[in-house]
Amino acid sequence: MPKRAAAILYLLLAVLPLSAGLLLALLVSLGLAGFLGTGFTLDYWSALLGRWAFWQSLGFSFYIAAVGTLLALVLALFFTIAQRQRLQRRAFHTFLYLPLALPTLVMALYAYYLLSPTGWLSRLSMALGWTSGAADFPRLVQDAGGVAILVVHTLMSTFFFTVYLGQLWPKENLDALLQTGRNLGASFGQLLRRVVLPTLLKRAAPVILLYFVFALGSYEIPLLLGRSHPQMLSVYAMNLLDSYQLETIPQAYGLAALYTLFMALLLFLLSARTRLKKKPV
Amino acid sequence: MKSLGAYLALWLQGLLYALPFVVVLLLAGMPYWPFPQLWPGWSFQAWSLLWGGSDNVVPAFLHSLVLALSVGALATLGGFLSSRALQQGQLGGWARRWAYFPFLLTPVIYALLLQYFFTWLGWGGSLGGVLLAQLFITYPFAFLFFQGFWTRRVQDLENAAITLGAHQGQVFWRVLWPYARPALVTCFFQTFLISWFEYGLTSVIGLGKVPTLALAVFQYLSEANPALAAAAGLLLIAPPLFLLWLNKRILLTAAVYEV
Amino acid sequence: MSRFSFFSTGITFGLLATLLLSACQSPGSGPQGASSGAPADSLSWAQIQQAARGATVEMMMWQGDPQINRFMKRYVKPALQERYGLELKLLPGQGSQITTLLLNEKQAGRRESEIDMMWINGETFYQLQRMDALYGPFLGRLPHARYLDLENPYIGQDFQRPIEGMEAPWGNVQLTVIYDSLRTPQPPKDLAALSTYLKKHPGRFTIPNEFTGMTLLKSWMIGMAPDSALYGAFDEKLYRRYRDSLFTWIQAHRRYFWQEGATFPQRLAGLHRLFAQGEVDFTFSNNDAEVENKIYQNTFPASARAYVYRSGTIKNSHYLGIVRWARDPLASMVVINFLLSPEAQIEKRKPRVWGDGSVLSSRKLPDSARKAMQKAAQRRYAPARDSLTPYARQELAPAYMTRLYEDFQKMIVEGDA
Repeated sequence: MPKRAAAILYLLLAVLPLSAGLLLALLVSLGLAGFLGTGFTLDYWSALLGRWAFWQSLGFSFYIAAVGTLLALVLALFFTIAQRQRLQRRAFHTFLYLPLALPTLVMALYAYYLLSPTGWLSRLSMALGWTSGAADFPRLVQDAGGVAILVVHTLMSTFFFTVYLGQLWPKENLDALLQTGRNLGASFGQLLRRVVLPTLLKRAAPVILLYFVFALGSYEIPLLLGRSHPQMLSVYAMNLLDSYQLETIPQAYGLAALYTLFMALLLFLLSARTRLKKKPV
Repeated sequence: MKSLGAYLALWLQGLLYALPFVVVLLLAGMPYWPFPQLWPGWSFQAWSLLWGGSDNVVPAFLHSLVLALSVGALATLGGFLSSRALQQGQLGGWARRWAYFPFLLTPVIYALLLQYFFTWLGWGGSLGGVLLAQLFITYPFAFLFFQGFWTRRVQDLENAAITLGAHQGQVFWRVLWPYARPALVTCFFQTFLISWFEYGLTSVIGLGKVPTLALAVFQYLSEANPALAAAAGLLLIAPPLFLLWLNKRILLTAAVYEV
Repeated sequence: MSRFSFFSTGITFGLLATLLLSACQSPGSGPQGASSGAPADSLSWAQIQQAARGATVEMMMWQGDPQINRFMKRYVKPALQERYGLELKLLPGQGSQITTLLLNEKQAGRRESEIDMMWINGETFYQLQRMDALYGPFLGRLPHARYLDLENPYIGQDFQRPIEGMEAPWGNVQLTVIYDSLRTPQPPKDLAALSTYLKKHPGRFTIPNEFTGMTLLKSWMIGMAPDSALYGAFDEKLYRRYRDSLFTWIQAHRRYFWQEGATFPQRLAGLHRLFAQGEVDFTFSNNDAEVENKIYQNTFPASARAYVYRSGTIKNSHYLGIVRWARDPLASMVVINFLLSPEAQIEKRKPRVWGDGSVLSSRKLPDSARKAMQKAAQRRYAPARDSLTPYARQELAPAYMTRLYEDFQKMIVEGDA
């Protein structure tokens, strides 16, 4: 493909929609465009940022993304390190890939019917005599702590990290390194801390960050498993768009623009460290 | 200690990994499920409803299929060809960096940004519109995917072929294409899955007029209809499971787009 | 192309495109729709019906109730196909979603809408009128409109605003409280009794944070204010006064609510589920026949019944509107005309089908239709309509609804637990 054609294709599909959308969102949020656009105003931004629920939403999203990713990492590391012998076995390898077939919607379905007050765990605990009814069962879905949301994100990230780490292990020759370390008299704990973890984490860092970002902007899972307050960012933005008050629409655009700019900032910082110049997964 | 850890890890992993499948399978085969019954017995009501009845999921399935196949093909092809041209030098560097932008952005937020333009151009609520919007998120993925393909080695291969007397067409069809086929297939399936599973962007741009299987699963879920939701969900995971059976590497990078 | 010009071209392109678009769309610049103002006055009804043959009408409606969906899919759609040769497509969407869609279209200067007609309620009617997004007046053109009971203030007015032929009444309902007569033999009939009930049975009551819940709050507000004080145009001072009284009551009793009032169900279906599974003792419905059709669906126990508060509950009608720049407003009129027909209204009235009240005046109907309507209106489990009429209250101006929605979210849901 000639360079010019490629550049045009790239511009049309990757650059134009995003930049045009971002610019329009900014303009609408500042009152310079759109049905409610009566001229430059910071009213919509102050309405957006002045509401405590927005900051709670922000905090909640970061909490879910950070805790979920961290837990997933811990689990994945545990699974990989503890079962490093099995990594070569083909059946095990296939087994690791199985849950990658599960999309967010199916995981949300699973989490809901497992964890809700009338879900399977609740019925099981009633049958075992631990709880006496739906109201007795601890609130895991649509609760303040976002437990079900956290569970789903943790699981999904674990599934992926485990596979990824499982591939990294032979690539980084960790078996050989471990063996060498052993021969030199180091204990397993020392090797873990000095060799295994730093190597794995350093190499997996971009992917871990990627999953953190995906979790941050998650939409379907909090939509199905979350409650009206606090909401994760994407849900919050869509609620602003769909509310009964037309005046919140520019706020929705503002939030979308803010989120997009945050992504841009993140990318900028990361590319400054030349990490992203490397080939992707 | 080591083997205890391995044992524990395997059991925990086995539980966590198998449980979702088991739960969804059981839910799909269930009739009305009054609380606090543990197991109300089998009933394949959900299946008959899905295929023939009022909750006919066949149109949604077909739409999803057509959409995902087209998006997969177009994104892969576009990414494959343009990735090569825009690889070298400063331009390539910038292109690679920018491509992460639509990739990182949550599809539903991207849809919010695109909404107005799609309405203005009348592309909302149509299969073509949804296809285009999905291309906006899959093309950058494919572009990045193939950045890793067009290496020095490939260039050497090309040069070798040219030295041996092949002309451009032959170089492409006889040398590059067969070499690239595995990567092309992988990228195709990955972009297929991104489109296949997509919900947020599709519901916003499609305006509810473009039915997809993912949308159907969501609707059943929000209507609190476990059997139908699970049955549709099983249909949803059928292709990836099939692909897993074919070649499991395919799923690895698609999963990156899942969360 | 150097990398600098490459990207700056791209960004500039995007910038220019955006500025151009936003500059072109000034507020109020509407598209030149297929019709504007008085519709098709020159055409006779027979001609309109003829023109509608082979047309496709896209209707946006709330699809949260499977029973209603079934009525539309299994009765209305085939009937329209058979009799008028037109295809009705049903799209999910309500209230704010319709408004946002039409707003976007209007801003973008679309000549033809993605939808033709929609099922709407007061506050949406108000927003759409504000945006000049409604086609009409068309009601007078419909042959079946002669049966309409427009003199009835619950039908001829929508949220205190005259409909002026810009929307067609479709059904009529009153808010009721649903309970289980076996579990709760003496349900509380007013706020004082509810207060006592809550303290005796904590965690068994909640308010849905959506349309029906807001209607409930409005009903309570009306009960707190003297007679028809809240009727008429929106009054900020009055609103604040009674909102504060209401919210004070809620905050005082919040800890006796379900989940200690920390969260409220976002969807009515969710509350229905809680009730059906015995987690709460009450649920609500804007439709007074809902208890009956849920019993028939095996969703509610056969001992479920419904009642209204002594201070009254809101009775309102729901309507059908046509988009001003709809692709096929004439075919939409044919659809609406069918929905207003005695036959369709009778079918809709049956509790097994929907149980939605008719908007037709019984004295204007021919004898056979009147009898069929009376028969269809018979109920076994839901309260008789006549018993509810003394407790019916009118809907309030739209702003009460939108303000309550916002304030409930901000002050109760997001405020301190």
